[in-house]
Amino acid sequence: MKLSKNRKWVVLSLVAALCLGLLSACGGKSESGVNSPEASAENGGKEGEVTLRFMTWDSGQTLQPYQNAINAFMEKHPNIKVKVESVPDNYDQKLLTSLASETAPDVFMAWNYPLYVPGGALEDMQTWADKDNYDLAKYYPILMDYMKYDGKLWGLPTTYSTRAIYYNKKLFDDAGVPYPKDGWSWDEFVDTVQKLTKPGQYGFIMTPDDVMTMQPYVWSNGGDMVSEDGKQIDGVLNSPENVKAFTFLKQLYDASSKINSAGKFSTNNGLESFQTGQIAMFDNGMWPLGDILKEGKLDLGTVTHPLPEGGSLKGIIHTSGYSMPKSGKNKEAAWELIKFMSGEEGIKIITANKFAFSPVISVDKENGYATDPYLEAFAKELEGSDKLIASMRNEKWSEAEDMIRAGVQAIFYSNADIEKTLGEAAKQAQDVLK
Amino acid sequence: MALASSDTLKMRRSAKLKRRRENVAGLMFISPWLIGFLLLMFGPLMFSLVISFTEWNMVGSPKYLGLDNYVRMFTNDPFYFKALGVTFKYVFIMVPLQVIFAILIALLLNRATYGIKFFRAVFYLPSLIQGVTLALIFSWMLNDDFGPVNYMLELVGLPRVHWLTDPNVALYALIFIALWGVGSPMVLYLSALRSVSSEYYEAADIDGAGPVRKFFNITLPLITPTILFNILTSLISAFQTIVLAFVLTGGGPANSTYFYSLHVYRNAFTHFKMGYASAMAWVMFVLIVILTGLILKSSKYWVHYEADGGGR
Repeated sequence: MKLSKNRKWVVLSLVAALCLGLLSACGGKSESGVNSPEASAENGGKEGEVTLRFMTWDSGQTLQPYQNAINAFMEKHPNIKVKVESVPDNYDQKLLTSLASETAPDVFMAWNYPLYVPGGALEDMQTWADKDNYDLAKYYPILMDYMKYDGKLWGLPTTYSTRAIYYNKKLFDDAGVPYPKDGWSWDEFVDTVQKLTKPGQYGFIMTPDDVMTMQPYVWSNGGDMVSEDGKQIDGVLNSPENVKAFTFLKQLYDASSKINSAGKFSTNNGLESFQTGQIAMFDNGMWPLGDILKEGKLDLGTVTHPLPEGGSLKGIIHTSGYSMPKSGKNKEAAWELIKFMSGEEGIKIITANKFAFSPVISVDKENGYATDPYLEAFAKELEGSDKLIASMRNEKWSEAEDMIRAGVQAIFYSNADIEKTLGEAAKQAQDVLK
Repeated sequence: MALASSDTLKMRRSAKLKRRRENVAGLMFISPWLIGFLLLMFGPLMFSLVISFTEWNMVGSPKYLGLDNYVRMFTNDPFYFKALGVTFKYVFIMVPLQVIFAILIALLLNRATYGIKFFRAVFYLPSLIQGVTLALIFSWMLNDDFGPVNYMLELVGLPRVHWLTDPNVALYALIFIALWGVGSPMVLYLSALRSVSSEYYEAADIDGAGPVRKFFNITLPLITPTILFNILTSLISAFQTIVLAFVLTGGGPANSTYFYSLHVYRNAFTHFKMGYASAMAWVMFVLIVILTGLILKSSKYWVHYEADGGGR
């Protein structure tokens, strides 16, 4: 190529500009929302003013209740500013990376303590509670178990929800099937599902993929997924009680959709199908209730999970905690924020308008959601709940769950022998959990 | 004599200078990529090689494991060979189909018909839509209940197909969707076809060769360099395929679309086993290098470069 001298310089400078662009792309960390602690101290300008970073997976409408509480906190503490960082996707990845690089936010929501704790990057909350004589007995004890791992306390609870069965009254009326009542049996459930399943409509969606939500059935039959300490699964997963529970789940699958779908009807898609009347019953937390009621299009009821003969109700709990990183620079202020958000004042603001249940017992009583016709079932699910979900017991649970899921898929899709399949899955998973 | 030698020396020196200048210019031109690679990719690459010998969940310090990760995938991972099998099946069905379809369409579009330019654009256009967008479009197209594809099947009296929700069908559905991108290799073949000199065909006409004979004895051999290029690039990208399965099936139903890349992703970002995931990624890298090498080696038996005056 022949280039005139002038042209050559143009090309050279273009190339140089490109290189510079690349260089700046990798040096731009400090500009991208991730404030260094030093920068936040300078931000305020005023003496003694601190800016806290608060990270949550909530966004949009579900963030608003938390934002309301934060606003109230800032009014009360004029010297503390709280900057909310909303990370709806890949939350764990973002949190772990920031913990590893010591750029984690001062306060963050956390649910998967077995994943974060072993790296040693989380602040022990017990010391703060002790120092401040903070009353931990005001929370439901089972929820506090979800804040612990390895015997230590890592967070204070945010909100909680149990799961219950939603049902579409109109579809029941059309089929002439009576509404389900709390304390109904497994057999009645399968029977109801069968009666409500017809072309274009499913009584209930049971997929083999959602292993987590199978736990209430397993528990209420006296079984468990894994031992209390999370280390022994062989002999626990494949117990006779669980063979019975999975036989029931398989009946449930056969009675309805027989849908071999990973995504189609799981959580959100299931919600859509329930709202459009394609599904008569569906299993979920209390979160969509507010929106469905506000829309007012659907005549719905809620009922507790069905029970096996002689079984007792043991609900599953979704909850999370406020935590702070060991490397935090504004721990005093962070503790103030956590105390406020998780304590009576903040939680009252957050749980208003049936957004969620309060982990503080007195506020939960005051809210009175337990007597609400729609929320009663969810409250009942908490009463008997005395077990931690399996993922809270062992940091390697997600791997073990993959193996269980593959086993359940074989049982559901290809009618594999239940006892044998659970036994094989348990052996594989045992190897992972040690 | 002395004069002459100094002249040749000068010439040689100026040639050397010119070559060096060209080298420098060349390096400058690829420098954005080169610098980008060295600064942004080389470090992480080496890092992933190092942590592939450790156990590490991003927080805390990595724990040295030696070759344990590499041993584990072949001896003690119930999903490894499943994922490898799914990936190989996908590659060995998708790549040949893509090559065949791309050539067939290119042959069709190589005719001097009225409005051919319009049709070329039409056939190329779909390949501009790729990745997540493509996946989302097909999640509706192939929807069990409302999808247009099932609707059309029903119109002609065929049963509905659970495209993405039947373990026996889902992988083929993904292959079908991936073939949507056939437009890009098609363009390459089209330009290869157009560069085949018409003299060959004229000579073949005189010899009385039919169209089939002309295709197999003239066209096909002369576009083999493009076929080689196409096979290599789509082989490499097919082994790494993740987007369609990630968005459409999540590896399901029943792990029937659980690609190797998904297994790597799952270990890295669900189980947070960075070491194990890196080890698997490196094994895939070696696998691809070996396969690419084999294909390149085989190419001297079937790829014909016009400059050599044909192959063996």
